[in-house]
Formats: sequence, structure tokens, C-alpha cells
Amino acid sequence: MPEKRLLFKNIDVPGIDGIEVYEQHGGYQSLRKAVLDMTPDAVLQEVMASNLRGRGGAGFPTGRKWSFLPKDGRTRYLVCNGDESEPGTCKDQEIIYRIPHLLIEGVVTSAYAIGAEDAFIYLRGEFKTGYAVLERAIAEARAKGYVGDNVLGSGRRVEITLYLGAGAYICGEETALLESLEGKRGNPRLKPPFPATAGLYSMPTVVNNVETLSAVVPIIQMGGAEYAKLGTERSAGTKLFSVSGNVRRPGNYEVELGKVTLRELLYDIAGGPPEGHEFKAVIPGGSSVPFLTPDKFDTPLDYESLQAAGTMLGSGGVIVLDDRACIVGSTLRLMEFYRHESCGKCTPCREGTMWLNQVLQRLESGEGRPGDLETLADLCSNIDGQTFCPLGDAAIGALASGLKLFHDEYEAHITKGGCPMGEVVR
Amino acid sequence: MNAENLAKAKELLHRFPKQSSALIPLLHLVEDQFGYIPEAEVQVVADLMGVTPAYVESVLTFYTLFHRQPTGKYLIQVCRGLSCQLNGADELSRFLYDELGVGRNGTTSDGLFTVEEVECIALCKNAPAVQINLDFYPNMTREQLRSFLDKAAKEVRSGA
Amino acid sequence: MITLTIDGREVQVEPGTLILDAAKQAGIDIPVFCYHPRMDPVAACRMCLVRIEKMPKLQPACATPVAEGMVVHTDTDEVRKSHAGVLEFLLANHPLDCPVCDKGGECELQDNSIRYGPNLTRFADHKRHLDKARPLGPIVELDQERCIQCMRCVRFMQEVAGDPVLTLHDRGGHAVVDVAEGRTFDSIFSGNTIEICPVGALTSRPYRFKARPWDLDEVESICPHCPVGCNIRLSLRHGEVKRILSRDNEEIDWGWLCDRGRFGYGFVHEGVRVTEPLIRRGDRLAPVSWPEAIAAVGNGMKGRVGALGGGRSSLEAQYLMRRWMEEKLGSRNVDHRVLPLTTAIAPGQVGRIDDVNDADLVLALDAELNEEAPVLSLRLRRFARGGLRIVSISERTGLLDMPHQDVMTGNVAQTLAQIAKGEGEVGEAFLKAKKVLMIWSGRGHDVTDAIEAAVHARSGETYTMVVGGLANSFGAQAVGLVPGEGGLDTRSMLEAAAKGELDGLFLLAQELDEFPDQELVASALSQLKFLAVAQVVPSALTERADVVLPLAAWAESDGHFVNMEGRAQRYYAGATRPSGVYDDWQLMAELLGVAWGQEETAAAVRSELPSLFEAHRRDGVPQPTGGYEPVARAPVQASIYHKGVTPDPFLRSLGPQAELAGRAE
Repeated sequence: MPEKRLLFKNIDVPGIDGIEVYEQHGGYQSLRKAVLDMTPDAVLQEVMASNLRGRGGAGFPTGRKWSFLPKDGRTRYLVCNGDESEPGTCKDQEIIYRIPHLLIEGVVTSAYAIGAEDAFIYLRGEFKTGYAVLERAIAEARAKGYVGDNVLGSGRRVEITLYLGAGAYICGEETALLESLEGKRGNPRLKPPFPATAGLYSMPTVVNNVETLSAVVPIIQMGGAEYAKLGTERSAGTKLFSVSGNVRRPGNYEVELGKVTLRELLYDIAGGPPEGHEFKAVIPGGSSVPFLTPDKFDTPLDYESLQAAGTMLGSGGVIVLDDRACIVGSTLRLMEFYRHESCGKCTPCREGTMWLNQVLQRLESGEGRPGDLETLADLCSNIDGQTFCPLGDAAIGALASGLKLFHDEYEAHITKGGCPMGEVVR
Repeated sequence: MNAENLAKAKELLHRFPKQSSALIPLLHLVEDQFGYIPEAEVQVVADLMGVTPAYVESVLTFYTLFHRQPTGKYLIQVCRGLSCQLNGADELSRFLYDELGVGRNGTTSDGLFTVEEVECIALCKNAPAVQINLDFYPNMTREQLRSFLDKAAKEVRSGA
Repeated sequence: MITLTIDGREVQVEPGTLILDAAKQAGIDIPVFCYHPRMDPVAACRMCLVRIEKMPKLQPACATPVAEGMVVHTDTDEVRKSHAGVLEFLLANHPLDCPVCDKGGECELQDNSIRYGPNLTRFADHKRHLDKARPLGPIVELDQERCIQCMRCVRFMQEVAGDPVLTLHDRGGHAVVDVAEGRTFDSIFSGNTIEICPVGALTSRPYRFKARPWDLDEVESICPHCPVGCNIRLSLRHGEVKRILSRDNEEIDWGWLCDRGRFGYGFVHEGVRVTEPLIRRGDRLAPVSWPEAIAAVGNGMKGRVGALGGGRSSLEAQYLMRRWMEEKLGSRNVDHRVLPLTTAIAPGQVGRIDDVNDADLVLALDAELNEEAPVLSLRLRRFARGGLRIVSISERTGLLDMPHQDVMTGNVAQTLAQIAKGEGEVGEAFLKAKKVLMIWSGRGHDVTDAIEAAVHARSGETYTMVVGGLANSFGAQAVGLVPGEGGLDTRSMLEAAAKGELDGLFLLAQELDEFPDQELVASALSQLKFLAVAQVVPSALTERADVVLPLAAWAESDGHFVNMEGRAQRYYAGATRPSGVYDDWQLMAELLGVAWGQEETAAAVRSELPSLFEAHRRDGVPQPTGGYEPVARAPVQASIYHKGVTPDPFLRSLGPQAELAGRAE
């Protein structure tokens, strides 16, 4: 099955980043429909009916998340998580840079649905150009009455404020993002209270990913029930997959969930392995999830099937490793990342990533010792499920599975005194 | 901060529902103007925000895009995310180190270039990727880097 | 009440109790690092993870409230592995320089490692290297390598002290606690961070390498530096105070001390002391025996005489001093108020420190709490964070720095009168509030009448407290160290002396250097015929005195201080005293001519106390609120770290126990 483009339907249209072209291709019709023809609750019901799940990584049902907001009259906020930092993931970046009005339309529509007058788009600090793109697009949208004090004459106010992070992966975690958005260190917060009751500035807040909010646009356009027909019962709709690494046609591809296998994505859509090479392993949901080996390539790409195969759909960042790649080197590279990005708040993540990093470094540089692999596996188990936020679990996702799936390769690093692959990754 | 940024700073203090949010945008202003966050500016930002300099430092040191040391006119950041590594990111950084005669996080003596290796910048499908002053340079090769370095150096010379 | 099961034991606790505290009530220990009972939980160190049935992951006991029917396990293989895992992680980068660490022996990382840690570490890589032994200021020394990032210190400064001078820099494994560049850790509460640091990351500079904790004796005492009466422990080695720690009292100090209290013991051992009675012979002071000195005071204090002081003295000495003046000298010229202090007790019912907990409104009248009663300010701040409204009224500004604070600048009496009339928004709040606490410095302009009127204007609970006195000013006033009918107060006595109308003056542990009119003091001293000074350390006054009577310092003596709530609190002797000094009550008993021992003194004080405190009854409960227990030689409590350690008999014989045992006989 080929791509199924909802979000990316018009992404290749020249000039789609401008509001005129975006409108000519049906842009802002969903917002118009929502604000002028529907009550906020009706919009919420459509999102509920769509079975849309959060596209940032956790996969929590979006409609339910919205429905948790207490009806107590306090100011509510919508925060769009544009901190896309999960290695292997670059889908939000493409939306922001190439079709910014889709995001803006999704944000305003969603803000309308949850009764938020102020929406914030938090972008990772590296998206400075994306910030400018969105800034211009918001100005265009404001000029046309899609954003501002009186959206499309409905009397409803929705204002969008952009916020630029400054280099911290942890800010992709929603409570850390809220801390950062409040101008603080991006440490995750103790939950409860959850953002729905005490989020931004302690007010009820919904935090949704860029892709999630963008998906609200086609959902309102086609109706939630219609959207729910796409994909599988529990994994509804389409999902963007970022395919990268050792693959012939890396790119962002939008497919129906559960209707395409990993093999189809890798071979039919992304063109298969580079000439003369074979796939060795795939990290299918961003760097935080366990490896899949080619024997599992027929797994359909949906939340449940990937979980059953021992990994996770996560953010949809599919990192592909071919036969040149060293698994030890790759997991070392990822551990360096998590060590660098650990906020340091909790012990197992802060100390564990430093320790694992050192052992992996030794293995890779030929100083592995007997017992190292047992230690690695046991340290992973002492981090697993015991950290303050999900970053700890993310840090060991690839390593813990790599130790099982590629045990011989790790072992060989000890017995052969270094990386038998030569210097491919390092 | 220069006058223009000071004016921007005053606006930022009122942009958000709570003033605390202005801290990171203010630090961006400083970083943009100086290429790093000088000690004296920490005090300026603290005074604007009505917080202690210690607090400002505590926040700014959490974020990797804020530098405590001056950086070159061109801040070249080579992505070393796994996807870029699998596509030769190491070669790019090694090339830059050799070509410019600097080490990791080093700045050339003429103050033109700083080279950093950074974590994933969300350009995985365009690996190996580089950002220069936070502009994306997808699918980079050594040749493209070399011509960038030449062009930049030439521009600066002719400007001087 | 909520019923839950912890390790098979059924436990009943109040709703909202954290699992950690519920377990504690059931006698089950759960190890912690970041948790501190006086601060908000952060669940960061992960030391306290427990298994709760029906929950997917291990949960932090320090941040998880109990629920009905909850089943908690703290001692399963899984939980034990988690404990050992966290400790192994913490020890991986820990420098393990325990032999030269002041925290050794009372270190939570050591204690938890012994009980919950792995026997061996598998860590064989490079430890993190960071700053060691770096002074952060005059008091605190930082060792970043030992830090386990529990953030207690940072949270204390931010949450409790409201002075975020400590911050966390950088992030992840590089994150370090520090003060900002070019700054010093100069908070008046800095010492608390040393005491709450679970490891040796923050240590005390004054105490650096002075002792090992297992060699220290601990004696219960009361801080002598302000009227709050914080409960303290003296840590002693060979009879010398080596440091002071807190002794958490829920109703008073919550386990916090200010640096003045924590480090204000230097005068006991370090400075020069008066160690023997002295009598003036011409232009010099000559040592004499105690009986000679006592007789000399008796001879000198004749005719028109007066006595000053007592605010720093034991309740026992105050009582005896009053009787001495009354019965032996027949004088009503007695006053404890030598500071610019007007009174130690305000009109109305005397408030308690924990009235802050449920007060709706606090009026701070001329009160500068960081100066006068620092630890009280911490409790105010805590409840101010929760919304307690504090109105600071003074002619000066910047006296308090609190959240939810209103500042009214102006004449205190006038402003208070307007408030009492219900004028303005504050006035309305004042009359409406269920419970109001008025905190007055007691110094400067006398606003007694205004306070009295304000108390009467209200129908709800209204309490008053005076915070500007000394450690025992309340006691002094309660036992009657104020001018009797026709008697002279401090100023009048000095004026009389300056005019040559006062023959003898007796000063009990009282300097005059803070008296606002120093010219008057100088001319009074020059005209006085006879001056007797009982004091701990030499001063300009002892130089001028005709008789000098050396006193034991509070750390060397026993007695009671009555704090600003009217609570009599016992302090015990710990430090070895110089051989020639007397307890203050011992001196006063000698002067009164009763050869009382301490027991008799105590009995006499106790028999009179109820009537002494009659004026300050509250809800039918006689003050002092803490009750009064007779002073008796208390057994010196061995250090809690002593258990099982046999002390070297020779060393021990030099220690305070031997000293005390000798004296008790």
C-alpha cells in the first residue's frame, strides 16, 4: 500500500507556505467550519470520534486528554509541542517549515475546541528559521482574521504566541516543556498534578504535538468517524514516519496506520537498502525504542503490532541500520546522546547514563572486560521504570534490546579487543 | 545589550501572561548580539527580570544553545545524531577540524569559525546535516563545506 | 482515617499522609535522600521507591499519598534491588573520601549504604572530577564531588529561606550546586544547609576537622541569642562546644536555626574570659576569693542603689535577683530593659509561635524579624507562601521581605488605630479575620496603648508577641525585674547616677553599649560610687567595675529561658567551665544570702511561678506554655553515635561528664 496523504496532501504544492496558496487548496476550511458551524464541544466530539492518538511518542488519545480539563472557569492554555528532538524524527520540522498554515489552522481549531484563548507553540531552539516561518504565517493568518481577537468574526479570541527553546531534549517531555515555557530550567515536574489541572502558569493546559494538532484539520474536514475508518480500530488515521539512516530514499512518509508493514515502508516506499547492502536492524519509533531485526519486518506499522513485536511506534522516527553499522557503536552514540540530555534531576538517569556511556565507550575502543555485558544489562534493569520521567526508559530502549538481539556482537567487542566492524559508525 | 535589543527586551517583558517566560527570549537576544552570554549581560538580564544573576545562570546553563564563551562569526554545528553518523557526520567534523585547525568546540584564531558537534537537529532525512548560525544545511559534503568556508572567508576579507 | 497495609502490617493514618510517613508511624524505615520533612517532596533521588500493588511501576514513597486499601511492599526482592541500584549509582561518582570527610559517621549515604547498599560496586570507570573544598562564604564549604544532587540545600534557600543564593548550574551529570560567580553564600540561614546536607558536600568551616561525630557528646540546650528560643544541641568534645545543631521542635523552630544561633558560641571558649572574682584596689582589679567578692558587693550596694539586666540570665537568677533587691536591699530600682526595649510582653493574650499556622492575618509592628527573631520569619514565610497575609507597619521600610505582604509606612500607633477602626482594606480584613497575630518589636516608640485598643476592637482570637527582646526578657519581666512602685527604670537610674544621686549599681550579664544615649551612660558611670558587674566576658564595664563577678556561660550552666511565647525551656550544662566562675543563679543565691543549691532554687521558683505568670493566662492554661520542670543536674546525654562505643576512660575522665559528675557530688 502506498502513502496515504492527509497532512502532506499539498506539501509539494509550490508556495503552500503562503496563505493564498494554502487557501486555494482548501486551507482554513476546517477552522471556518469549526468556528462558524460547530460548538467547541462538537469539535471535541469529532476529535474523540476520530480516535486520534498523540503523535509525539506516547500515543495518548487526544480527545480524552482534552476532556480532562476541569470545567472550573479558570483560564486554559493550549501548548503545541514543537520541541522535536527525538533522534531519527524530523516530521514536525517539515510541517513547520513547509506548510506552517496547517499547524496554525490545527492550533486555532483545537484552541477553540478546548476553550483556550491563548495558544503557545514551543519550538526547539534550533528551529530558529522555523520560528520566522511561523511568525510570518501567523501574521498572514491574523491579517485574514484566522488568528486574533475575533476569529472569523465569531467573537472568539485565539492568540498564538511563539516560544523558542534553547537546546534541551528533555523539553519534549510535556512538564519539562511547561517549565521551559515559564522561563525556567527544563526539569520535568512531579505529577500529579497533571497539566490538565495545573499546567502552564498552574492553569489547566493541554500539550499536544505538532503532528497531532495538524491532524485535527483533516479530522474536522472529513469528520471524526470518517478519519477513524482509516488505519486500525485502535490505531486510527495516518501517521508520518521519518525514515533515515542507511536507506536509499530517506524522507518523511505519511501512511495509514496498520495498513503498511515495516518492510513495505522500507522497501516499497523508502527504496530499500543502499546498493550492495542488507538491512541489519531498525529502530522504528525514534531513538528511544528497542531494535527490530529483519525477521520482524512484516510487522504492520501501528501502536499495537509494534508493541507486540517488542518495540514501540513512538514518534515514528525510523532509523535504519545496514550491515555496515556497528550495533555497539550505535548504542554508544545513542547513550552519549541521553547522557548529554539527561536533566540530572533523578539518580538512575543521571548516573546510569554516565556509567553506561563509559562502559560502551570502553567496549568500542577495545577495553571491554569480562562481565561488562552482564553489568550493562543489569544497570539497564536498574534504570528501567525507576526514573522520574520517561527519559530513563528511553535511554535504555535500544541498548537493552541490542544486548539481547546482538549479544554476539557485543561479546565480540570484548573478545576481539574492539569493534570488528572497523570504523563505520565511530 | 544594544539599544535595539533593549527595546525588544522591554517588549518581551510584557509579551507573555507571566513575566518569568521572558527570561529565555531575553537570553536569545543576548546570544544573538554577542555570540555568547557575557557575564555583564547576565546582570543586565537579571535586572530586567527582577531576579538574581545566580538564577539567570542556573537557567542559562541548562540550555546548550547558550554559550558562556565567545563563538566565531560562523557557528558551524555538525549534527552527530545517529542518522547523520550513519551517513558520515564524523568525516565532516574531522574535515572541519583539519581544515580550520581547531578542536571540538574550538574557534579559529581570527574569530571567524567555531565548530561544534551537536545532538540531533531534526534533519535526519537529510543526513548528514549541518547548521550554520542555526540555518540548516542538509545533505552536506566536504566539498560543500569547503566552498562555504572559502566564501565566508572571502566575504569577510572583502568586507574588511 | 485511612487504612492501608505496609509490609503486611495494617496502618491507620490521616488522609493525605505520604506513604513514607505512614511507614514511619508503623515503625518501618524507608530510605531517603531528597526527602526532607520540612520541605515539599520532589521524588528526585529515587531512593524511596516502593511497590504498591496494582500500580505498574515502583513509586516514590516520599511523594505518594496513602489511599484506602492500598497495599505497599518495602522489602521485596524487587524493592531491595532498586535500593541497591540507586545506591550503586550514587556511589559510582562519589569520591569515597570518607576518612577525611567531616560528615563521616553521620552521613546518610554511609548509613543507607550499610543497610540497603550493594556489598560491591561494579563501577570501574572514571569518576567525575569537580571542585573540592571550596569556601562558598564565611560559613559553608562546598565539595561538589560529594554532592548527590538531592537539592535539599537549593530547595531550602529557595523555598524556606526565600533567598535563592544557591542554584544548580549546568545539567545532567555535569550539574553542580554553586553560588553565582563572584558572590558569597552570605545568607543568615546558611548553616541549615550544612545540617540538612545528607552527605559531606556542604560542611561547616568553623567545625572543619574539629572532631569526629562519634567522639562528640550531645547536650540539649536552648539558643541564647533571641527570644524565639530555638531548641539546640551542643556537640561537645572534651568539654568544649564544637558545634551547635538543631533539635526540631514542631511548635517553635521546625529544626531550623539562624547562623547567629548556630555559630554564636565562640565567646565561650575562644575569647578571653573573666575567670575569678576581682575587686578594685586603686586603679587596678585584684583577684579575690568568692566570699570576699560577695561581701564587697554587700558593702558597696548600700544607700540608693539599683540593678539592671537579666534578659540573658536564667529564670532562676532573675527570680533571685528580684528577691535580693526587694528583701535585702529594699530597692525598687530594678529593670531588665536596657536595649531600646520598651517591654517584653505586649497587652492582650500572649501568642504562640504556632499561632502563625492558622492565623488569617499577621500584623508586624516595627518588626525586623531577620534581626530580632530570624527563625520565626521562616514559619511566616512558609504560611505566606500558602496565602497568609502579612501586613508590615513601620515608619521604616524594607523590614520584612515576604510573599503576600502589604507594607504600610507611617506612625505605627496611628496606623494601628485606623486599622482597629476598620478603616481601609486592611482594617476590614483585621476586623473580619478569625485569628490575628500581632508581632511587635517592643522597641522604640511605645505602642502598647494602640495594641491594647486594637485587641479590644476585635471579637475573634487576637494574640500578641514581642520579638525585640533578649532570650529571657519575657522571663525577666514576668518575675518582676521592672521598677516597682516609685522605682526607677533604666534611664532614670542612669540619670540619677549622672547627678550623683545613685550610690550603687549592679549589672547582671548586661552591657550598656546598646543604650541609645551613650553620653548619659558615660557620665553615669563616672559619677557612680559603686559598680558591680557580673559577666561572662571582660568588657569596658568590667574594666570600670569595683567588683567583677565571673559567670558561667549558658553552655556551662543550667537553667530556664522563657521565650517570647512565655514558654519556659530548660537548658543543660555541657561545656567545662573555668574553675572560678559561678552559675548566675548561684551568684544571686549567695547575694540573697540563702545557701541554696540548685534544687532549692528550682523549688522556690516553681512554687512562685504560677502567680508570676498569672497575668498571662491564656484559655485558662497558666503560662509558661512549656511547663516548668525543676532545674536539676541533668545526666549528660551521650551522643547518639556513641552506642556500642567504649570510650577511652582516660579521655572520658577529662570530658564534661566527669566534670559534671564531680560537681554534682
